Amino acid sequence: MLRGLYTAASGLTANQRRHDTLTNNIANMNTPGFKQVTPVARSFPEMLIALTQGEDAKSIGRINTGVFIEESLPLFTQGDLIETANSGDLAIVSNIRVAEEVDGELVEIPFDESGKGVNQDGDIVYQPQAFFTLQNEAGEERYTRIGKFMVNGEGELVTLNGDRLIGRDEQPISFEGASIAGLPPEVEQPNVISLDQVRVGADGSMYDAGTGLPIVDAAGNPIALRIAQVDNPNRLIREGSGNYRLDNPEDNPPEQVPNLAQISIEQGFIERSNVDATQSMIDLMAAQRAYEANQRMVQYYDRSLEKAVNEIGRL
Amino acid sequence: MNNSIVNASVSMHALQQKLDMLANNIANVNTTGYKRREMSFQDVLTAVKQQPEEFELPGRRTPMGITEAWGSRTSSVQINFEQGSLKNTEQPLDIALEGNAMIELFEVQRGPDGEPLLGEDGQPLLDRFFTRGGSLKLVQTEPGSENAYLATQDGHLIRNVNFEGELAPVIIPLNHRVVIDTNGNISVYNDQVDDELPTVMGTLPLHQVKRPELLDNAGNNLFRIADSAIDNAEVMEAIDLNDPRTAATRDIQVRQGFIEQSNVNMTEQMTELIAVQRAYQLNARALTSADRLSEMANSLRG
Repeated sequence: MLRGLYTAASGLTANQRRHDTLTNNIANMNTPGFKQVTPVARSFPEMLIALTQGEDAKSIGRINTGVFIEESLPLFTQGDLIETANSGDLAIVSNIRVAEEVDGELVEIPFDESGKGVNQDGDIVYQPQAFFTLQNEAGEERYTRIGKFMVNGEGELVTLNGDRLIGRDEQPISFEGASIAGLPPEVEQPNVISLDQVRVGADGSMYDAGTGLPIVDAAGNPIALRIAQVDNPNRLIREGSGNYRLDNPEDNPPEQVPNLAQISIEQGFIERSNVDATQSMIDLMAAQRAYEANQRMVQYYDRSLEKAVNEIGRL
Repeated sequence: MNNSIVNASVSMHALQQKLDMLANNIANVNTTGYKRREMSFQDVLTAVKQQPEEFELPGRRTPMGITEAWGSRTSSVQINFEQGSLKNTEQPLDIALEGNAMIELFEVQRGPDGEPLLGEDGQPLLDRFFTRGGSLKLVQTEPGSENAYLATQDGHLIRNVNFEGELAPVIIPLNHRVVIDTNGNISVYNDQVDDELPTVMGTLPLHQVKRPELLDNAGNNLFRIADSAIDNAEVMEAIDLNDPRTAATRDIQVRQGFIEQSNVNMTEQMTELIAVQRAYQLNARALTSADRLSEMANSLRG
């Protein structure tokens, strides 16, 4: 068989997959907290080509025999904020800077727009990103940027899917039995704390809207959100419904963001999807045309083979 | 191909649902006491296609496997209880609530034969509903009686716990002037007789909404507590504005002669409508593009 036929077929599959990924980006243009995914293509490993000429096969060069989509790379740029004025809507604004020590001085690593930077040793490093920490039904830790929360029937702070939000004390946040700390005796302590009464500060701690006093849970600990810092966000696996997970979290478990000044939680705002619609449409058209080009190649190979089969050696 | 087509069609279906909700909000822009609905999107469950070990090449950033996603879907519909603006009608039986509060109403539960269902104590079982007010009316207790019950437009009687501690409807003598103060106390004045003092006939049963997500829409601008709520007292908290501590901390007032208008903001709705329409268009383009790919694959040979 002509080697190029399979190369062209691999091009068809790769462009198909690229088209699928771009369609998903476009589909999630209005999904809050969605991070755009870029399909990364890679050519097959090179082969050495040699002349078939008896014993001394003379090398004439290298050839790649195709392309495949290697990975779907998420892009963690900050999405725009939209004001919704709902108390249960939170948005993370994250710009975590990393500094390293060079000759006794702390030097900041510059990151480009896609979050990639190079440190002094020449290694590629990625900008850490901040996420809300969730606990799903199976009790596993998940991360998300979608900040739409509500209080369920049991008084727990949950996402719209029912996953519980984890607080700074590593426990699910519950308003069951919560109270306002330090209220003067002549002011009535509310029986139930509703989300409208809760003000979330820029560092994730919760206060009463009217008095500004901290809200404490049933055990007396102040309620605050746990914002996890994921050092290499490319290792996150997207599960759908806005949740990310980390496989092998023991290697580098995400901790609470150490420098809370570098992130900010905005209440009453939602982070929009960071999908660039124009670019996605252009890439979609490009993928379609590339698919067409590969299709033509397959058709040409088909015609060549037809000649080889039917016409060569015809008597 | 199939992934793109399924993806785009699922997303368009979700956008259609949002469009329906926006249309409903816009249709109710003049409905008294209407609370707008809100809906947001989420991405659909993602599958990770495994890649064989040999695929791992230097320079790769993400873990092994390609994520395959299936579009976007709508998350649950939420009701936004933002205060609507108050319109002055000067009708004495129009009431509006300012602040986070609702009036509790009861309806007798009826069996399939129309007879009231009785509880263990022989009293009829009651369904609880909540409303933000509106135009009230007087319903004569019996034909020819001098007294009337205070009721909503669709006939729900306003009941409160009276001086004997029983849940009973508020009785208003006819030909008396009704005055409802900002704490919800209902008094009647007899203007025909001089020097007669006003009588307090009852108080509006007010509740504060603690968990708005657990309120369901029950039609006719009524709300009820969702079945998924475990403790009803956590969802709606009974308040008595006559208690000075309550009145000081909660900013709630009852306004007689006003009705609360719909809290739909046309600008917001139209902006979202445009965004949904454009997103629908883009998804339709992606679908057409995927269809073209299928066409190319089908015409590969002949």
